Amino acid sequence: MRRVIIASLVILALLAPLSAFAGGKTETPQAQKTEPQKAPETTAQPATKEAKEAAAGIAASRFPGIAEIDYSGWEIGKSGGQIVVAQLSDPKSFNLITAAETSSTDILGRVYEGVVDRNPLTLEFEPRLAEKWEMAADNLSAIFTMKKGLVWSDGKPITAQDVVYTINEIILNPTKDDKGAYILKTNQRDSYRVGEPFMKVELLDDYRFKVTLPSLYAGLLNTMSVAPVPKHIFEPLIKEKGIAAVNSFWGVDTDVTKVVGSGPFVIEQYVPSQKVVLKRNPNYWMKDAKGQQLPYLDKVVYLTVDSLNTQALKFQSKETDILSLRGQDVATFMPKKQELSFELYNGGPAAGSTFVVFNQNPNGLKDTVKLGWFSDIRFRTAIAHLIDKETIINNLMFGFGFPQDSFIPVVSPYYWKDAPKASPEYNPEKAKKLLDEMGLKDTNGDGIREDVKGNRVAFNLITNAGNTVREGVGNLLASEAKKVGLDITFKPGDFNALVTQLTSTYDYEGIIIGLTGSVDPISGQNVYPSKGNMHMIEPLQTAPRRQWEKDVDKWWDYANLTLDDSRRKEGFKNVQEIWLKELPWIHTTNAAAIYGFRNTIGNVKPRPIPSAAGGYLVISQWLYLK
Amino acid sequence: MKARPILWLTLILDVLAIALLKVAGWKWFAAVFLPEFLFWMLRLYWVNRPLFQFIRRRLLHMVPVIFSVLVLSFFLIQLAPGDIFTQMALNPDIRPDTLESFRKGFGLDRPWYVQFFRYLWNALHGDFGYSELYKAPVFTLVAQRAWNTLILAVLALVIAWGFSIPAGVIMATKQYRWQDQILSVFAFAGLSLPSFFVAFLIIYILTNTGSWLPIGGMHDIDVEKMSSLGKALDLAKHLIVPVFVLTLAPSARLTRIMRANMLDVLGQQYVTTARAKGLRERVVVYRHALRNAINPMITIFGFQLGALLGGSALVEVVLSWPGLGKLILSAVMAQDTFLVMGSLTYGVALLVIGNLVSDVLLALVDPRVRLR
Repeated sequence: MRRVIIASLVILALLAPLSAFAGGKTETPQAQKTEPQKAPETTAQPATKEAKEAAAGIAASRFPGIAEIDYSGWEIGKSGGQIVVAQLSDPKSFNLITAAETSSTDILGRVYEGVVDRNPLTLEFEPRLAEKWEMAADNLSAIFTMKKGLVWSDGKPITAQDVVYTINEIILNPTKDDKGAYILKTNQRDSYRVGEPFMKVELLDDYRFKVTLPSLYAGLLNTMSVAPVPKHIFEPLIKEKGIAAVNSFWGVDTDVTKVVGSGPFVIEQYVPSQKVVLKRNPNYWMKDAKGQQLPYLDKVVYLTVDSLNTQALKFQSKETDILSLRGQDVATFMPKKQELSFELYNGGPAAGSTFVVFNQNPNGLKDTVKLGWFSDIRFRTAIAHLIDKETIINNLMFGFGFPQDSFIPVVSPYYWKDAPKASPEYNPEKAKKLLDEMGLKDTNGDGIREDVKGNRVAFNLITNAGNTVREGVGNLLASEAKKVGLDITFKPGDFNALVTQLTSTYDYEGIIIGLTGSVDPISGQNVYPSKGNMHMIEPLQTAPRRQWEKDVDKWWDYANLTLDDSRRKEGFKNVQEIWLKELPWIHTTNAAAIYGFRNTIGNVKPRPIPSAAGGYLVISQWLYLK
Repeated sequence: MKARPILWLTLILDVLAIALLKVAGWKWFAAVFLPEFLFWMLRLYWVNRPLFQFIRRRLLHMVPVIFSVLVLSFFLIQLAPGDIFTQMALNPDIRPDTLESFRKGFGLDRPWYVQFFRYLWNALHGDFGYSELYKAPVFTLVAQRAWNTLILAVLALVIAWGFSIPAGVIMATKQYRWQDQILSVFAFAGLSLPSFFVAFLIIYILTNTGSWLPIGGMHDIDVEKMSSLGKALDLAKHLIVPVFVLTLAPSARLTRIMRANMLDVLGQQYVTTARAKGLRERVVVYRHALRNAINPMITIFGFQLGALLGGSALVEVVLSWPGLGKLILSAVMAQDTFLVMGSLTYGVALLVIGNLVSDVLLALVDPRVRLR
C-alpha cells in the first residue's frame, strides 16, 4: 500500500513540471485573419496599407509584408508609458569621455545631447544645444551660439563654458605621463585634428564660443556634434584629483543616479549584467510641434540578453517591445504579426560596408607572384565579376539585403547615384576572359589555371569567424572561383589575428572585412587617402604609389578642404568612380535593418546610421505609446 | 585546557568581532565570513589539532596552485594575437598613435615578465587590477556577479545530490527492473545533451507554448516594486530553468556512479551477513550499504563545486543569467588580461577550497581515513 502511494506521488512529481508548458501568459493564437484584398479602384478611399502608403508618397514596400518607414515628419504623441528593449551586452562605462564600445555609447547617446546633430528625418545638421552657428567669410572659423535657458538634468544651466571646458580641459587635455602617453584615455581626441594640427576652441562669452580651423575642413560640424559634459562636476574633480581621475569616473561601480546629462533621458537604475533603466529627463529642452515636452516615454528599460536567439524568443514571448531582426528571423516572425501584435519595418541598408580586399603592399606581401596578380586590375575585375550579389542576398541574408557599390551609404547626399551602373556585374564569362587575357591558363588539365611560369593560381582568403554572412560570402566566392579555374582557400579565423595582419604585419593575401560608415564620408579619412593607416591595400604611404591613388588623394582633398557642398559632391563622386574602376576593394552587400516594433508604439522611424553620441537611433525621444 | 570554556569564549569573541566589523562599515558577507573563519580555526586548534594542521597545510598548498594558474593564464593570453586594444584598430576614427598611447598607459608595451610581476605585486596588496574592458576594478566586477553564480551552483549541486543519491539507490536495489531502466534513460540523456543546447531548447519550447516561466534573466523588470516575499518568489521563478539545465549533467553522472557504487557494496560479504543476521532490508541498504557507497562520491563533490562555480558560461549566455561565467567569457574574448586573471583566481580558489571541503568530509565520514 505504502509503495503504491509513494509510486503515485513520484509520478505526480515527475509530471508536475509539465505544468510549465500550460500557458497562462499569452492568449491562444487567434485564427489567422486573411490579408485584406486589394480593393478595386472605385472609391477615392484607398483600402489597403500599401495603397495608403502609395497615396502618401511613400515608396512601395521593397520587402513584401515589411512596412517602409515614412521619414517625412514626426507625429504628435502623448506622454507616458514604458518600453523594454534588449541589448547584447551591458554597458561598460557611463562616462561619455572614455566610453569606447557600443554597449555603453548606445545608452549614453540617450543621456547626452550634442551641440549640433543630424536630424534623423532629413539627415541634415541642425542645432541642438546650440541656437545657431555662423561661419566666417573665409570659412576658417565659426562662432557657435548656445541656446539660452538650457539646464542639465540636475538643474544647473548649460552654457558655452561646459562645451569649451569639455573640449579644452578634458578631451584635448595635453597632460602626458612619464612614458609619453596621454593620461586621459579617450577616442574623441583625434576628431579635433585637421591633418596634424588641432582645431582651436575658445570661449567668447557665457553663450558663445569660437572654433578656429588650421585649414579648410568640411568635417567641422561632424566634430561639433560633440556632447559636452557638465563642467560643474568635472572641474572640481579634476582640480582635486587630476585628469587621471576622469578615466575611472562614472564607471560601472558608480551611483548611476548621479550621472548628469543633457539628453532626453537620465539613468535611473543599473543592475550589473541585467538591466539599465532610463527615465525621462524633466529638464530636456526639446518640445514637439504642439509644445509638449519630449520625450513622451516615462521609462525605457534595456535588458541585457546575451544571445541574439534569446532576444528573438523574448520578443516572441512579449517580454521586449522592440527587436532588431536578422534575415533568418523574418520568416519566423512574419506569420506572427497578428498574434503578437507587432509590425515589421524596413530601416534600409545599415550604414557600413563589407568588401573583399587583396593585398597590394610590396612591403607586406613577400610573394611577388601573388603580388603581381593582385596588383593587376584585370585580376581584381575578374574577381568582381565572380561575386554574385543576388545570390548572397537571397541565400545568406534570406532576401533582406541590398547590393552595395559604394563605401558611402545610399541615404547620404554624397552617394553617387550611378554607382550601381558602374559596378562590375556578376558574369563568370567575363571573368574567364579577363583571366585568359592575363595569361593565366590551365595547362595541365587539373582545373586550376597556372601562369606562364607554371605557378598555380592559388591563394588564401580569410575573414573573421562567427560572422555567418561573411563566411557565406567567402564560401560562395571560393566555389565560383573554382569554376573559372582559381583555387581559393577560404578560412574563417580569429578576429584579433585578422586585425593584426591588416594593421601591423600586412602579410595577408585576401580578406573579407567590413567597416562602419556614416552619412559624411569624411569619417573615412584614414581609409581612402593613400596615407591612411587603414588604406588596406597599402597603408601609410608617404607618397601615393599608383596613379589612381594620386587621383583619389587629389579628389579627397578637393571634397574635404572646402565647405561648398557641390564641390564635395563632385569630389566624392570622382572618388567613388575611381574606386569602382580600379577596384582596390570589391563591395559586396549590405544587410537590411529590419526592426520589429509592437503596434502600441508610435513614431517608429529608426535610422541605422551612427548618431552623435553613439549608436543607431532606435530609441528616440519621439517614441510614444498609443 | 578544557574544551568547553574555550568554545564559549570564542563564541563571544566571534559575535563581538562581527559587530565591530559591521560598525566599521564592512559589508555583511565579509563581516561574517572573516571572523567565522578565524574563530573556527581557533576552535579546531584546541579541539582537534590534527584536523587543524591538515586544513592549514592544505590552505598553504593553495598558494603555489593559484600562482601556477596565474602564470599559465597570463602566458596564454600574451600568446594570443593582439591585445585588448586590437578591437579598436579597425575603428576609422582612432589613429594608430592614439592606440599606442593607450597601450603605453596600460603597460602593454613592457615585456611580459615585467607586466606579470607588477600584477602579482598589486594582487598581494589586494588590488586585482583594473579591467580595461569595463573600466572598473576587477574585484568589484567579480564581486557583483559572484553571488549570482554561487546561487546557481549551490542549488544545482544540492538538487543534483538530492536527486541522485536516492535515484542511485533505487537503481541499484531494483537492478534491471523497470525503475532502473527508466532512470537509466534519464541518466544517459542528461549525460549526452550539452547544457547550452538544453537551455535553448527549453526556452524555445516555453516561448512557443506561452508558459508562465520567464525566458531567461534573473529578475522581473518590476522586481523593485514587489514585497520581500514577491521578490523571493520572483527569484525562485527565474531560477527554475537555469537550475534545471545545470542539474542535468551532474545528476546524471552522480546517479550512474551511485548506482555502480551501491551495486559494488551490495555484493560485499558484510551485507550478506547483515541480511543473514535478520536485519530489515531497509536498514541494510540505508544504514550500512549507503554509508559505504557514498565514500567515493565525496571526492567528486569537491571537483563539482569548482567546476560549477567557475563556468556554466554558455548556459548563462543563453539564459542571460548575470553571472561570473559570462564575465569570464567576455573577458577572454576581449583579451582583458586582468579581468581574466582575477576571475580565474576566484575560480581556482573555489576549486581548491571545494577539494579541501571534500577531503575533510571524507575524513569525518570514513573512520578509516586518517588525516595526514
